[in-house]
Amino acid sequence: MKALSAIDTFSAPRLFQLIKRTINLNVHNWTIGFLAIGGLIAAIWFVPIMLPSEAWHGYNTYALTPAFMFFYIAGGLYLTSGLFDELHEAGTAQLGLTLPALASEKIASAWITGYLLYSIAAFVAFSILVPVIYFITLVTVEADLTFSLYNILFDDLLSNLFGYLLYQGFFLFGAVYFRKLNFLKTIVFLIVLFILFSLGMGLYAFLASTNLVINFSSLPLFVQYGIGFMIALLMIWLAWLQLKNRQVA
Amino acid sequence: MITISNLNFAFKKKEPLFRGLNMELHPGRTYGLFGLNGAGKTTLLNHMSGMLFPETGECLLNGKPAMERQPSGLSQLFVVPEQFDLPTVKPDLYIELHAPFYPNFDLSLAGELMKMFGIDREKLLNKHSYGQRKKFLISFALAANTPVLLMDEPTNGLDIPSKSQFRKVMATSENSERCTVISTHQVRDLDTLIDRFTVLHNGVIIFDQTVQDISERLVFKKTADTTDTESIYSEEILGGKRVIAQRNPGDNDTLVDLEFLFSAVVESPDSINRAFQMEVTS
Repeated sequence: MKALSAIDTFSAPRLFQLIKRTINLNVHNWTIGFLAIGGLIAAIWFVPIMLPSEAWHGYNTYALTPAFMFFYIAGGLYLTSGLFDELHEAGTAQLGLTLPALASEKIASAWITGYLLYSIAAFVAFSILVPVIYFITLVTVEADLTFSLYNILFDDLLSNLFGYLLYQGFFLFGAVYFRKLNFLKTIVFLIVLFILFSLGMGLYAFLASTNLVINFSSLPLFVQYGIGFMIALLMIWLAWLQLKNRQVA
Repeated sequence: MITISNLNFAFKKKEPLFRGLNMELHPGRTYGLFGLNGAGKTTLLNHMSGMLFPETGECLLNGKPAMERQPSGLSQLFVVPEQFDLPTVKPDLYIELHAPFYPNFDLSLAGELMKMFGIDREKLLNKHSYGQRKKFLISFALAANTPVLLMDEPTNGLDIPSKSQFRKVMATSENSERCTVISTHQVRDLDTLIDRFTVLHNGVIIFDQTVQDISERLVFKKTADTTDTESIYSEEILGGKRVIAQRNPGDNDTLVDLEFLFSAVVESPDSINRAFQMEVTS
C-alpha cells in the first residue's frame, strides 16, 4: 500500500484514490441499480411481445433508445445526488470531512465518477444488453428483427451526454447543499429557477414593451453547448464552495 | 501543535458556547478534556479538526487555521467520533481505501491491534456491533500514527473487558510525539491514561494542570473528622467526608482521584486553582 503525498495542491494520485474509494463504497448499490434498470429495459421490450397485440416497437431495437436515454439521465442524476450522502449523516460526516484531500479533489472525483465513469458504464451496459435482447428475441420469437445498436450510440450520444452534463452540475450542487431528500429538492430548485427565469424574462418584455422570446434551439449549436457548459461549470464551482465551507451540524 | 486563541462560538446567537477560549496543546501529551454534558467538549474537538469554524478568534493546527482543512493538516490528525457509522466493506478493504491518505500508517500495527481487539476481518464493518466498530476505528486511528489524535468519548459503548483492552492498547501504542486529546465524562475509565487534566465549563477552560502537578499540590483523603477546616473541598460520604486539601511538606503521595477533583473544580474552581498559585514549600 503506497502512501499518498500530503501536499496542499491538486494531486492526481489522491484524486484516483478518492475515485477508487467512492466506487468501492457504492458498488453494491450501483450494481443493484444497473440490474434493476437493465431489467426494466428488458421488460419494456419483452412484455409487448408476450401480449397478444402487435408489439409497439416493431421489433427494432432502436425503439429502446428513448427508454435507455431516460434511464441514463434519471439514473445518473439520482446517483449524483447520493455522492455526498456521507456529509449529511451525523455518523459519517466527521470521517468524510476530515479525509485528507482538497475540496476540489473531492468534487472532481464526484464529477468523474458521476459523469465520465457512469456514462461509460451505462453505455457499455446498454451495448451489452441490446445484443442479448436481440438474440433472445431471435431465438424465442419468429419475427423480423432489426438490430441498430450503432445508430443508437452515434445518433443520440452527443445531445444526451450534453443534456446530462448540464443537469448533472445542478444535481452535484444539490448533493452538497441539501442535507436530506437532495434529489427531490434539486428538482424543486430547478423548477423554481425556471419559473423565476421565465417571470424575469416576461417582466423585462413587459417593461421594455417588446415581444421578447428567447428560443435557445434557434441559436447555433456551439453557442447552445457553450452556454450549457458554462452553467454546468458554475454549478460545479458552487458545489466546491459549499463543500469547502461545510461544517458539521 | 494546536493553538486556540480567543475562540468565540455559538450555535444560537444569544447562547454563546465559547467565550474567549484559549488553549495550547503540545506533542507527547495525553489531554483529558472533561466537562459536564453540554459543556462543549465535542464542539471544541470539532474546532480542532476544522469541522466547525470559529466566529471570532482562531484555532491553529501546526500553525495553519484548522478550518482550511488542507491535506497537510488533515493527514496529521485523526478523529474518533463518539457516534459514527462505517461503510458496508470488510476491515481490510476499509484500510486499503483510507490508509493511503495517512503517510505514517502502520499496516502491521493495524493488524496487531485488530487481533488484540478480536476484530473479525471477514465480516462487513456495518455488521459488527457498535463496540466492535469502535474498536476497529480505534485500531485504525492508532495505526494511522498521526501526530494529533482526537477521541470523543472513546469508552462509550465498550463493555468492561473492552475498556480494559482499550487502556492496554493505548498504553502499548504510546507515541512520545503524539498529542492525544480524549474528551469524556467517564473520568474513571481513563484516569490512568491521561497526563493532563483539563476542565471545560461555561465556555472557558476553568482548570488545566498536569496529573504530576496535581499530585504534588493536592492530597486526596477520607476522614471521619467532620469538623476538618483545612480542606479545599469536601463531600459528605458514609461515615465521614472525603476531602481535597493542599499538600504540605511531609505529606505522603495520595492517589489522584480525578472524578472527585472534577466535581471540586466544577463547584469551586477558584479555591482549587488557588492551590496551584501558591509557592511550593519544601
